Order: sequence, then C-alpha cells, then structure tokens
Amino acid sequence: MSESTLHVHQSALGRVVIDKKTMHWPINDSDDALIMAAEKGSESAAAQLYARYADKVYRIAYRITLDENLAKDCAQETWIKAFAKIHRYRLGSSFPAWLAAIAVHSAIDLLRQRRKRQSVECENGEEDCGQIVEPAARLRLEENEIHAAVALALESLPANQRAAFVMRHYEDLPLKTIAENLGCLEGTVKTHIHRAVKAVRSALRKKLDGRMEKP
Amino acid sequence: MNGRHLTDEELLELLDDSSERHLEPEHLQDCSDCQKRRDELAWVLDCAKSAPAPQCGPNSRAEIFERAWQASGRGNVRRFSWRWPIVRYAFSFATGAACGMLLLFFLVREPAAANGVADRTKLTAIPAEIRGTNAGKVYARLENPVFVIQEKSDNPNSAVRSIQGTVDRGAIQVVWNLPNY
Repeated sequence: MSESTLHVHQSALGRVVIDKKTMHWPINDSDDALIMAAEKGSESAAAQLYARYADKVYRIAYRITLDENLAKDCAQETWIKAFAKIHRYRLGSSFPAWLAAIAVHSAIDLLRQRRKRQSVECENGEEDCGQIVEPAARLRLEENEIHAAVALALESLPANQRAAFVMRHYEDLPLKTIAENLGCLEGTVKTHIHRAVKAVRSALRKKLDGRMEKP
Repeated sequence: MNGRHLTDEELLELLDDSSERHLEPEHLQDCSDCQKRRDELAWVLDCAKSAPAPQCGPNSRAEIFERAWQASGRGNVRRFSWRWPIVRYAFSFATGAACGMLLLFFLVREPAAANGVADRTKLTAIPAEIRGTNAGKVYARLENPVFVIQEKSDNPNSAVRSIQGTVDRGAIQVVWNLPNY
C-alpha cells in the first residue's frame, strides 16, 4: 500500500490505517456490516472490529494464559484466524461469542504447547524450568496476596477447566456456549467450573478462614 | 431443618445469576452451615472476578492488528494474485491458445514442405514456350511475373509449372498453371 493512499488516524486503538475510500466509515455500523466489508478487504472495517473487541480478546487470552507475552501471542493468533476465516462467520449470530471461541481455543493451544515445552525442558534438566511454571504470580504475591493466590490456583488447573471458568465467570458466557466452544457437554462444563472454584477456594483457604473467623 | 445439605455445585448454581434456579431452597434459609458455605463460595468468586487483567498497550494493540491483518491475507483481496481462479483460467486459456497456434502453424506448413521445393525465376521476357498462347496473353498483363517450378517430394520426376503474378496493382493474385512436360 502506498503512503499516498493512506490516512493515519490516532485513536484509542493506537495507529489505525484507514484507506481514503472508506475514511468516512460510520463508527456505529453493526458488526455484520463491518464483517462483510472486512471480508471484501476493507482494512478500516477490520480496524473498527478490532477496536471494538481487542480488549475482550486480550482479556480472555490473559485470563487463560496468565502471562502477558503469551496473551499477546494468543491475541494475535486469534485475530489472524478471525480475519482469515471471517467468511465462515454466520451473519446474524454473535460475533463476540464467535471471537471468544477462537480466543479460548488459541489460548488453550498455546498453554498446552508451553506446558509441553516446559516439561521437556525440565526432563532435560534445564535449571530455570521451575521458575517458568509459576511465572508472574510470584512477583504479584507481594502486591496482592489474594489475586496472586487466585492466579496460582488458576495456573495449576488444566487448560479446559481454566477456560471454562474464565468463560463463565469473567466473560459471563452461558453454559451452552461454553460447552459448544469446548466441544463437551454442559454437565462437563459444570464439573470443570466446580473444580476450578474448588481450586481457587483451597488456594484462598487461609484468607477465607481468617475472614470467616471475624465476627 | 428441611432436607439435606446442599452440594457445592448446587450452591454455585444458586450464586449464578443466569441460572434458571432462582428459588432458594427452604433448607438454605434454616441451615447456617450451608449459608456459610454459600457465603464462602460467593467471596471466592468475588476474589477471582476482581483479579485485574493488565491492558494491552496502544503500541502492542496496533502491532497486533497490523500483523494479524497482513497475516490473514484479507488485505490482499483486491490485489493481483495467482490464486485467483479467473487469473488461472485466463493463463490456461492463453497458454492453450499459444500452443494451438503453434501447432496449427506447423500443420499448415508441413504439407508445403512435403510438396517439395519451389523454384521461382523472375521473368524479364515472355518465354518462347507460351508465346502466342492464352498463357502468353495472361503473362502480358501480369505485374512482376515469375515462372515457378514446384517439384513434388514424393515424385521428383513430376513438377508443377506455373506463371504467377498480380494484376490491378497487386489487388489480384494470378496463378496460371502450365501443361506438364
């Protein structure tokens, strides 16, 4: 793309490139209208979609991976897949839910890859493998013990349990959607969520006991 | 106290705003143990929900978008691509047409070569052989007359002889076959 045909627009998104033809794209257009335009190659429509849901995708990615760098990778992976497969999105259905499903899958995949890599590194006797298993949570312990305990508890969970918990309690997705996203039954999702809550509760046991003892 | 203690799953479902079970079981109103467990779970969920998620910086946001858009290939939709079916069809058609024309050229050229080599002699005066005949009269009107002897490759002994030229300033091509030897 030549610079002469581009307009660089400063916004909350950062640097958004808008081509002259679609510079006046209505900001309040529906997701479906933007999706159709993005499918035809409109970068500004894609940027609008991105601006709407970038935070949501990053939040899901971070909640599942609990690692900022991994969350960025996951967000990028999610958007690549979303833009590449945008023609598969059924117009009229919920775009954020569709996006969330992609984000959850990407996050679970990245998390599993990282855990696999870590276990190989540990098998090979690399010195720092123990530090990677509990990454940012230890640093955060001093800042906020409760949040760090929650993060540690979530880190210890299998990817599916963590994803189910995140989708239900952070993104407020219905059980049916979570089950579809994870490819399992609603009953299984309930079990995943219950196990996650149990893990968080036992991580917070000390705090909980102290709190309950207070009158 | 009515009924059994509630399980954690049941308490979680009660805490779930979107759950269809909004009615609090009678047992819960009377059982302090279940109430305590429900409050514990509510606190645990509140703790989990209040855990902050860091924001993605504006530079990273823009970078992620640009990379994702480039990598998705959507931005190249309108640009020329060999993957476009129409381009592939056009290329196939052009290649086929070129091959066809080449083939046709050789097919058309082949019989002429098979017929042997033509000997073209430019004439400056009327040949004695045709003087006084119809061929001689035609010859007299021709522009740039030539005497052509074309030998056939399958039978070198036989040859086709003709007088060729044009009339009306090249508008009409004339070939006048002469009798064989």
